[in-house]
Amino acid sequence: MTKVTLSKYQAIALSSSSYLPVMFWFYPSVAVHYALLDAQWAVLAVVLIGVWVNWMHGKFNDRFPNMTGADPAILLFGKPLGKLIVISYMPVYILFVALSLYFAISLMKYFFPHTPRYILGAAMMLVSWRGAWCGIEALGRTAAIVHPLTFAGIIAAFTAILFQAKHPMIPLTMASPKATAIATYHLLPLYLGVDLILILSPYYAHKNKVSAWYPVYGSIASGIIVLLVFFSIVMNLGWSPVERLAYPVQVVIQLIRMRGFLVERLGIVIIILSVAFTTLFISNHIWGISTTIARIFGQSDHKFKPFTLFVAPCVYTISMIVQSTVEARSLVYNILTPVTWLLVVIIPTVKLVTSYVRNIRTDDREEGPKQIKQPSRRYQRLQRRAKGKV
Amino acid sequence: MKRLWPVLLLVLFGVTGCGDYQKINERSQIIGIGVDPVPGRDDMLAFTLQIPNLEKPASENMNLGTDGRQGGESQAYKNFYVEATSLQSALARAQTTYDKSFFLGNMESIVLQSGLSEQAVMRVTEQMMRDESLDKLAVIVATSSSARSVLEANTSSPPATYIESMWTRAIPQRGFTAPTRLWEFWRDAELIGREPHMPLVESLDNSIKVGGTLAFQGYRPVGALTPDDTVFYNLLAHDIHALALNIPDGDKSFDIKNASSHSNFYVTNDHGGLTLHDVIHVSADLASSEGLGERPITNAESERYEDAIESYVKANALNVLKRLQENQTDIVGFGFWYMIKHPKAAFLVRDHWGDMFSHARLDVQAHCTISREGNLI
Repeated sequence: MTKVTLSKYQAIALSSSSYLPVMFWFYPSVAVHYALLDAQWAVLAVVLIGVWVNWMHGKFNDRFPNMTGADPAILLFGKPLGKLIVISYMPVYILFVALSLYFAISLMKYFFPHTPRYILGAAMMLVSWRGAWCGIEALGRTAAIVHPLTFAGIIAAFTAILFQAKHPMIPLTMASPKATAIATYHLLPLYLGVDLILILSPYYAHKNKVSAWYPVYGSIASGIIVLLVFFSIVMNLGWSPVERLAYPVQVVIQLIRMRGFLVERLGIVIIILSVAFTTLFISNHIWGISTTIARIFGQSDHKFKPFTLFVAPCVYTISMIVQSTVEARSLVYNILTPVTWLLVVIIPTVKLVTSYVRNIRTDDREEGPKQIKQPSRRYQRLQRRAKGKV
Repeated sequence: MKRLWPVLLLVLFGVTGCGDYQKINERSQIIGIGVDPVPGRDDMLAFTLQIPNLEKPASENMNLGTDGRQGGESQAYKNFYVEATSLQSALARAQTTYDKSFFLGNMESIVLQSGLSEQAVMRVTEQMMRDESLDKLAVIVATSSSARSVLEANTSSPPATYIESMWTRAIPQRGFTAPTRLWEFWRDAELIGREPHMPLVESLDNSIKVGGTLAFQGYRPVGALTPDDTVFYNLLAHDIHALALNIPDGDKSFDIKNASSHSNFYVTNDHGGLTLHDVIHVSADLASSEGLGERPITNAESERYEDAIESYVKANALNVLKRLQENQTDIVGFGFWYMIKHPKAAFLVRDHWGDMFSHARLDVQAHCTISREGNLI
């Protein structure tokens, strides 16, 4: 049974809307805090790392086109270790989505100051959960609308902000490679969430022996947004003041007021689009986490729905437990940052290298793992045993 | 599940976000804030909060008095005077005397008294920047008299609106003022390499006058430039559009009009000594020739006028720069330029730019082109 349900465009939109929100509203502050004038090099470096990470995930999918999230890890490392690795992703991803929800609620509080957080969170969560419940096809269609609208809105607004800068100057040399490296290290959570691409693998078309570059295209689009937003902020606010702001992106969009324009305050449009984008993002991840949990319990990835009833309340509860922006940011710095490097860079690299070294790949589109090349005797034994049981 | 959806939809109707809706006639927009020091009390500040008075028809707003608390009945505005330690506590206190809830989203002007301490300016600026709802695009001005007297001025529209219109409608940039918005003032106070400034205002009998610039070092006011000096500061640091000036030339003088300018500034480092360079380009129309006549002029005369303008601009711009050097306040932004070009020197600029700026050599160049447009040859 083929599972391919996503078009090329939907795959790009979905992969590109699976990361960014957790740090998007304050990453310029983090970059400037650690690297001051080298912040731009750190942002550029993290964008390039993001493209590389996406390429790596796409490449991995090419080798396992019929497998979703958890399965290739079990195939590569055996059942106990493989499952352990996949299970270790779950709490991190639940925290990650919960913090993204927290930051989204914080921004909405600017516009609805008297509405309690739990109402804003519940409204977003309800829509997100419903999206996840509808499954990946519905999410793909939504992403194909929300993603280009959000990106077009952000490009229009931030280009306008960039061109209103009175002192457009950027440093052309690097002062401290060490500071740049430290800032790059702290910026990587921008790309936490990229693992969703692994879960998408069986849902988009893979051509035989041709790499699907959809995640790379998505990451290039996101990279352009990350760079554009960063430059429009530092060129207007300078470098050092950015560090003082809790949400510099939010502050800078307040500075555009286009008199006589269709919408005088373009900033609010960006907020509306961003809320739609974040809701889609949370939906994607509720679906992704639920699907992976279904696979951990040995269920088909089509039977993810009951698990959304566990994931969505978990995400909501954690986002309600977080007390303040400072606490949310410290959770990002102290937990998500080191874990991101492990989950997004180190483990995927090890998995890809292992699959090459051990020459493990699955190329058909049938449900369940099946190799065309002989991977290892141990796996063959396991397969025989499994067949024997059946 | 399908049975649950109508219930969920009903819940959604209950959380539409309009639960905290307030009617527009139950709101009151604060359009101006004035801050004065309180003698003998460092922790207290005297706030003047201004709202437009929408309760009386416009025809009754002709007799604009300036007396008294909470404004006169027929004024275009109401003022609230509160002594408090912070803007938010001032708002809370003022709210006890008024039945409409205050909002800060349409802030137009912020007036600070130039005698405020560094701490007070910093406190107020940060409180305003911290507030999510306050409009960061409000203009911020300083006055040597008192912020209260400026916001009590006898103007046709509320003084806060009047001040903002000075730059948004009436005079885009005529040279005698260098307008700043709240966020720009805060940014320059926090920025490494450029100090903030504010335009100066004063209240006259029947209006408000703008002109001159107050220079800061961080949040500390350090010195004022006169309106004439501000012209040369604008030539050094900003662009000027449509300025008319009288240029002295020996014992005579001539006038230029429609003067517009742009400048390029940079810093060079020669064997440890810094030189601040500023190249000013001015283009203008000749309004009247020497002796204030309107006779046709020759090309040679025209070139002589250009030379006269260049030497006049250069001499005065140098004087303004020297004044700024004496006060160690780089409101032009040489330090920012130097830091961007030499990122390794960022911390040097942060810690020692005031000293480096005050000891730097100066090099101001002016280039002028004049034409004579109009109906007469």
